[in-house]
Amino acid sequence: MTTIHVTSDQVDAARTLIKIAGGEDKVDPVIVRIAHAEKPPRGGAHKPARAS
Amino acid sequence: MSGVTWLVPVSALVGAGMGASLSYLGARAGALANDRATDQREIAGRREEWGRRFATALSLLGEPDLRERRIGRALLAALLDSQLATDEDRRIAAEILATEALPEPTQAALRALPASPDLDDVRFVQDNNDGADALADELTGGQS
Repeated sequence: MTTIHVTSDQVDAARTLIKIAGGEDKVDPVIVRIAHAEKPPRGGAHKPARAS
Repeated sequence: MSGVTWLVPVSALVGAGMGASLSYLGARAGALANDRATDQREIAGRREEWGRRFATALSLLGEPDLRERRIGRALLAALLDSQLATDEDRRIAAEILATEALPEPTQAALRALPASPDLDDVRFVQDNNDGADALADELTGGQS
């Protein structure tokens, strides 16, 4: 499984975009996935936008 | 009374009635035009104020502080709920938010994936090293 790291700004922007678009079905599926990005355990070092 | 003698007062009465009616209609039309002008000025004023707030929201998105950027997005979403927002405003905001949500490094990471990957096979994990945890703690009093 590939992991892509995103920032909290990206998550917030994706959620706002879904809100103004009128629902998850109105935006790119990648935006929906970013809006639902998993929160890592606290204290772990995670870098954004890096595929691993 | 001859036919002519009663015709004069009746004509005067009818003329006065018509004059009064026309005056009333003229005044009413003038009032309606004034009301419309006032409504249009009010709408223009509200739209102008809306535009100022929209500009403020967009400007907040460029702030270095995470909290201010979040306020900018919340303000943007609230403003676009308004009937004063046009389709063009919504399109501009959507473009900006899409660029924020999917910046070039993330697009590059997606491009590096095997061709046509099933998104279910990709994990999206939120970075916790950008101050978001500290902001969440501040907003919730450490309950997050």
